[in-house]
Amino acid sequence: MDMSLPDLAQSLRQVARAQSLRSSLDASGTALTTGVVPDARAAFGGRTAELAAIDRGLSLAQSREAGLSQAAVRATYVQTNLDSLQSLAGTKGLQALSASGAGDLVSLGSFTAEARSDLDIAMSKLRGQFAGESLFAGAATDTPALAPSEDLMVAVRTELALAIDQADAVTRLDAFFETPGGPFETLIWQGDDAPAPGAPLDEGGQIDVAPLAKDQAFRDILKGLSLAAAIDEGAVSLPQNEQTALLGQAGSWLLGGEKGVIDLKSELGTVEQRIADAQSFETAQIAALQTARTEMIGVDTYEEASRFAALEAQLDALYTVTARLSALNFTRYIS
Amino acid sequence: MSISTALANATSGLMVSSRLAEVVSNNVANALTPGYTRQTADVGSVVVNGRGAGAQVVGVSLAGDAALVAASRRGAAQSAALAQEAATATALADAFGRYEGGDTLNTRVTAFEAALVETANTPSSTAAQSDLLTAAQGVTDMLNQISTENRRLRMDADAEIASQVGEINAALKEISSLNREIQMRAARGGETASLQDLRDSLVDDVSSRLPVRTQPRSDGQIAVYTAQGQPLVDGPAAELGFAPAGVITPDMTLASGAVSGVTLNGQPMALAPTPGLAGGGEGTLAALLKTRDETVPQADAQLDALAADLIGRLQSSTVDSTLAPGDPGLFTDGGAALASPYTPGLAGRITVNTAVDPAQGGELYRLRDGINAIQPGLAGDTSLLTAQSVALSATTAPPAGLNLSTQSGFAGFVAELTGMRDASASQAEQAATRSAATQDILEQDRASASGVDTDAELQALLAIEQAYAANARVISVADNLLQTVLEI
Repeated sequence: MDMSLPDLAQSLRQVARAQSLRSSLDASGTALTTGVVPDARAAFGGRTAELAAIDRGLSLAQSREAGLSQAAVRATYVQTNLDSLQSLAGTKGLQALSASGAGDLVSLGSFTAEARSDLDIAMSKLRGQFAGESLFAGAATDTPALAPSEDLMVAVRTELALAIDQADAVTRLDAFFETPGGPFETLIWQGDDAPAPGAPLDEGGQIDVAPLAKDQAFRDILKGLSLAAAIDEGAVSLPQNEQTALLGQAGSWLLGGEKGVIDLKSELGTVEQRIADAQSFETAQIAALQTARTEMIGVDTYEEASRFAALEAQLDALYTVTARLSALNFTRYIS
Repeated sequence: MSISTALANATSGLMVSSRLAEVVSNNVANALTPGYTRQTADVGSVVVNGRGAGAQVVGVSLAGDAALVAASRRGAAQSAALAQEAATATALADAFGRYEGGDTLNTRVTAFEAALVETANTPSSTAAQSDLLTAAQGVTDMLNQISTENRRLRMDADAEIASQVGEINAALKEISSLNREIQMRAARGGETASLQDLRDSLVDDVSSRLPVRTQPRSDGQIAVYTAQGQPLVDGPAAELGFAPAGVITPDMTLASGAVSGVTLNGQPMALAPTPGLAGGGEGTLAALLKTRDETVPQADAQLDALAADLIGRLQSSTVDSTLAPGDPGLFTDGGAALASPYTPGLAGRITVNTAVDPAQGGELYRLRDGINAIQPGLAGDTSLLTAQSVALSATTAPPAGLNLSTQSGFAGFVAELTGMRDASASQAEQAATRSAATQDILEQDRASASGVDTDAELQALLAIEQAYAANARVISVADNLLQTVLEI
């Protein structure tokens, strides 16, 4: 049975077709210009959860990357400071020990003359900062790791003034520096045992970067230099041979400290390697996530352009057909 | 005499032709009127004493196929219901933010987690702490917004039900009065086609809101029943009742009596769901009730479960050592700790603890040192920040109200919930589009049977014109014959 097409129904149908073609054309045009799928929900439905997970992974990886580069630079600063401490302790320690053993007073004299400024240099390295945060102070990054060197000297002078002989001087200095919770830790060490902000890891947690300024290696160096400086100032009232022996002890402390610093440097080297590994992991992860993201929501511009052209042609044909059909009207022929 | 009979016959032919022309002109005038049914004049011959005595218009009938009408009404009810459900599902999903806009609940949660990582990189930086506070507030603001949006959906549905009930009542009264009018006209022998058409369009209007069936009654009247068989118009019109609730809060439910259902003549009305694509009832009214009483409250409950998960993860003293049992953590339920069980509407009350907000008398350092910290702690302390990051991404079983099955971190729950909303919205939209396309075809079929094709009407008009001219000629010839006779 032939169904005639009443006017209203025909015009509504044409309008509906034109509208749907138009909206397809608009969507295609948006996809072309932005390069991404215009309506993620229509394209993926429930899989937008995957997309959200990819975006989250990207964002967190980028934050961690920033933290890792910061930690890498901090580690380099620490290494530089450790380098200076190592060379200082090494040269001066050797000088003191050999001069003391040989009884070379001239050499010893030049050692002690530079001892105070060497101590100042060592203390400034240990009080070093990066981007306004102390390097060797643990979690207390807003305070310098150690008190000023003059405070140390005052305390050391007091201790040595009470020394009756060489052995006693050594015992007193050991007690001062080494006692857990003793004068060094309460008066001179200003940091905190809790770890400093380190490099962020993928599974949470952090890699700690810097050693603490109260590490044994540093104590040995400070012990040796402060003793030499005190002797240079004449704060030690002991006979010459005992002073020479004391300077020899200072030299061996310095060499012990140098060895400790070398150990710290190699530990730090391991940490730096872990940071570098984590950085390349994050970089690879970011690249992979970005690829996955593009695959999900990216649009192939060539395909999309040809689709757009096809829709355009279709709409053009629809308009032509509509115009022709509307001209075929009986009314026109009987007037 | 035969000649005068011929004259009378020709006159009746003229009247029939004019009447036909009137019907054609009415059709052409209403060619673009939506819902207009084409009228056809039924012509019959007059027989007097066994001899033909001209023609008469027996009646005016409406073109159309009753089966197509019924099918298009059922289709209208279903597609209206699916369209309403699609609108609800889309609004619920849009509340979470559109992906293209770049600001969704997912992006805000990610920004908060990234801020935790970045503040842990430089815990002494006030700028980083301030960014962290802003990011945390971003998450709670969005949860509040979604909750408000859900409330608005329920209130809009409630108001819409009230207006639909009003319109249905008005239409039913009109149908009843048209019934009486048609009965009186038919009794007098008048023409009722236009009134019937008007009544049909009213029934169409009601059927998209509430699916109905019609039964013919005597003298051209109809009775209207709901799909469940309750009478809406059978003689007098029934009345639907509904009490709008105005402001709706999450704790107001149908069971608690705080929001009302629809009544029919005072009795509660069963708008039972019919098995269909969306599984919901048919007709806008049933769909709106489902929105208000099932769909949105379920969405609210899921959102509350999400908010409770967020608060709970950061409320423990293993994460923040300054917290005593019963203290609220970084996120609070309107300032208090999370109760178990919590009151519905949690997502609208969740907020960042004022203890960390300088604008409300708090201190930024508490983001690093703990909610109950009295003074700033170590500048480089990352323990709390790291613990919070770990707690947020710790894989746990999904909370009960969330209807998820896989274990995940908090961001995973948010992504899954967003995905569920998006999936519902896209499925509902597809179902609505398919139903609308089917409905279009049904409407076209119905219109094909009952619409006006001006070409056909004008062709008929040509024939009518010819018939009129022929009848006029017959009159003129009969007149001549009479003249001839009178001149004898």
